[in-house]
Amino acid sequence: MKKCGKWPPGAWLILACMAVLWLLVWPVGVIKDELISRTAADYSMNTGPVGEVAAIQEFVPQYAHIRSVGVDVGKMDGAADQGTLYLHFYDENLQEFAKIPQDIGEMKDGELTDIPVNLKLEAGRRYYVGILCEGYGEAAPVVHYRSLSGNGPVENLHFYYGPNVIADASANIRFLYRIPLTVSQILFYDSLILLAGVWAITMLKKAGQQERKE
Amino acid sequence: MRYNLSKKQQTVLLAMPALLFLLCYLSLCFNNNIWTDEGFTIELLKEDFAGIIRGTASDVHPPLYYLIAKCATLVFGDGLFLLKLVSILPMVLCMTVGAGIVWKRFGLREAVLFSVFLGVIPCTMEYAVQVRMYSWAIFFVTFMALWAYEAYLEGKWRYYAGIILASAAAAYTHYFAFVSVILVYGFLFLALAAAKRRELGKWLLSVGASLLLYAPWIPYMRLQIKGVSRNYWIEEITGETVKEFFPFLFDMGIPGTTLIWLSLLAVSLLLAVRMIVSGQRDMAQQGRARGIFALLCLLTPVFTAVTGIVASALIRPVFIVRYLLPCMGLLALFAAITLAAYAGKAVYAALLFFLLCAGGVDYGQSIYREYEWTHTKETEEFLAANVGEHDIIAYNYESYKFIYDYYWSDDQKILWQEVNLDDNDYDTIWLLDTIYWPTPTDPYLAEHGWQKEFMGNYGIEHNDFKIYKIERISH
Repeated sequence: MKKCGKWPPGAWLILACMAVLWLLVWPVGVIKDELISRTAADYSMNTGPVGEVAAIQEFVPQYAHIRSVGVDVGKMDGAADQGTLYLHFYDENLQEFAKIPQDIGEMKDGELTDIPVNLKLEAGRRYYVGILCEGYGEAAPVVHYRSLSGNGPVENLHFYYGPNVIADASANIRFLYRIPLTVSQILFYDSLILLAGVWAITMLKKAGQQERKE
Repeated sequence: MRYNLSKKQQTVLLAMPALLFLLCYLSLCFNNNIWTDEGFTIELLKEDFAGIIRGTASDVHPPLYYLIAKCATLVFGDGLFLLKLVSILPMVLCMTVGAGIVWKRFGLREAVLFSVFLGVIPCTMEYAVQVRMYSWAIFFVTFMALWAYEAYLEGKWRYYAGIILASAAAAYTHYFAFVSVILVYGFLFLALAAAKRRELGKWLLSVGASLLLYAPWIPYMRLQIKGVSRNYWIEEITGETVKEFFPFLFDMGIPGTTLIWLSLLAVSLLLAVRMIVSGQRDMAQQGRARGIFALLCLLTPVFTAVTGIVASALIRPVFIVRYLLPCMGLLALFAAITLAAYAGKAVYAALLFFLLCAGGVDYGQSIYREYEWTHTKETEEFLAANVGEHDIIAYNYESYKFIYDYYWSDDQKILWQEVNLDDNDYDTIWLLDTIYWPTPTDPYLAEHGWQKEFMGNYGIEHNDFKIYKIERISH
C-alpha cells in the first residue's frame, strides 16, 4: 500500500479555514437566499403628495430579515425630484424604530426603487411603514398604489394616506427578504469549500514534493 | 491516472450519471405546463410532414426537430409526456454514447465528468424537458465535435461520415447550431492545415457532402432570413444584454453561482493552456492535441455568441442567449477534459461531489419551476369547475393562442378583442387578462350591459393572467 506523504504545515491552516468557512455557511448563515414579494396588480393610482402627509402601509412580514423595500413614487413630471424620502418603520404600538433616508433624485419615476433597509423584524407580527419626504422643493412626490384584493403582496394590509384608509389599496411595494439556505444549498456551498480546500492542500503537497526533489 | 476496475465496472460507473439524470429528467415531466414555443411545437405537430415543413418554413427555425417529434407521435401517440421524452432522449444519448466516445478517447474520468457537467450546467436541465429542439441541437453539435476530433487523429472515413451527418442534422435543427458546426468545420480545417495537410481533401469532401445534404433547405432558409430581417421579436443587444448572458447560463437562484461557474471555467481555461504548453514539450502524451481540442470546445460557444452579436448589429437583433444552448455539450467537454487531466484522486472526488451538490440545487429549482411556480393545474381546475355550456373563455393576448390551443378548442375560447359585447349568446365570459391589453373598465362594461368580478391570479407556465368573470348586469 502506498504510504501517504506527511502533510505540510500549511495544510492544517487550510483545514482550519475550511472549518471556519463551513461554520459560517451553517449554522452562522452568512450566505442567504433572497426572496421577493410584490403585488400582482398592473395599474397604479396615486396618493396625494407625501410632503406634509405621509402614505402609510400596514404590513406583516413573512420572514424575519428584510434586505430592502422597493417603493414606487411619481415625480409629477419631474417637479418632485428634490429632497429626501424617508421610510419610517413603526411597530404595532406605533413606536418608530427605524428611519431610512433615500435621495429622491436617485429614485426612479413610476418604477420601483429598492431602498436598502436591512431590518430584522418578527415574521407574522404587524408593522407600519410610513413614506414621507423632507427638503423637497416645488412639489413632493406621490406614492403609487394598486388594488389589494387578490393581488398582494401578501404582507400588505391597510393602506393609509394620512389618517384615512384608502379602500382596497396596497402600496406598490416590493419586499426583498434574506432567507436561510435550504439543506441542498448549504451542501452546495460546503462542497465548494471542500473542493477549494482539497485543491489547495494538493497544490501545497505537490509544491512540497517538488521542493524536496530539487 | 489508472484504476484497477474491470471494463464492466467502468461501464457501470459511466452509466450511473446517465441513469441519475434520466431519473431527474423523468421526474420533471409529470405536469401539463407548456409555454408559447412549446405550444407552437404542439400545434405544428398536428400537421402532416409536408405541413410541418411549410409551417416551420414560415417560422424562423429549421424543421428536423419537428420531424423527429412527428415520427415519435406517429409511433407512440401525441401526449405531452411523450414529447418531453423525445427531448430527453438526446441528452441521454450524449451521456451514454457520447460519453462512451469520450471514454475511449480520453478516459473514464473525463467521460464521467463530461456526463455530470452536461447534466448540471444550470441552463441544461430546464431545456432537457422542453418540447423544443435545444437538446437535439446539443446532441448533434457535441457529436460533430467529438467525431471531428476523431477524424483529426485517426483520419478514418467513418468519422468524416459522422461529421457530415451530425453537421447537417445540427444545421437542420437550429440556425445557431448551424453556426456552431461551421465553426467546428473551420477549426478542423485549421488543425488539418497546420499538421495533416494530406487530409484536407477529406475535409473538403465532407463540407461538400454536408452542403449537399443541406441544399434542399437553403431556399427556405433564405426566405426565413428575409422575413427575420424585416421583422423579429428579439430586442437590441446592448452591453447589459451581454452581461445577462452569464446568469441565464449559470445562475442557480442563490448568491454567487454565476461567479462560481465562471471561476470554474476560468480554472479550466488556465488548465487547457497549461495542457497545450506542457504537451508541446511532451508530444507522446497527446496532451497538446487534447488541450487544443478542449480550448476549441470553449471557443465554439464564444464565437457562436460573437457571430450572433455581430449579425444582430449588422442585420437586426437575431440572437438571444438561449441560442447558445446547442454548445453546452462542448462546454461540458471543455471543462471535463481539462479538469480531469489535472485533478488528483482527492480533487476529482471533491469536484464530483461539488457538481452533484450543484445538480441537487439545480434540480430543486427545476422542481419548483415545473410544479410549484406555475398555476397551470389550478387554472385548469378552476375553469373546468366554472365554465358552463354557454360560457366562453376569452384571452386578450393573441400570441398566447398557441398555448391556449393546447388546453381549449376554438369552440371554447375567443380573442377578447373579437368579442361583440352587444351581440352574443354567452352566459358568462371568463377573461384571461394578461398585462398586454388593457383590462376592460367597469364603466365600459356597464355601457354594454356587463359587469366583471375578479376571480384570482392564475397562469400557465410563463404566462400569468388574472381571471375575471364577466356577466350581464341583471336588472
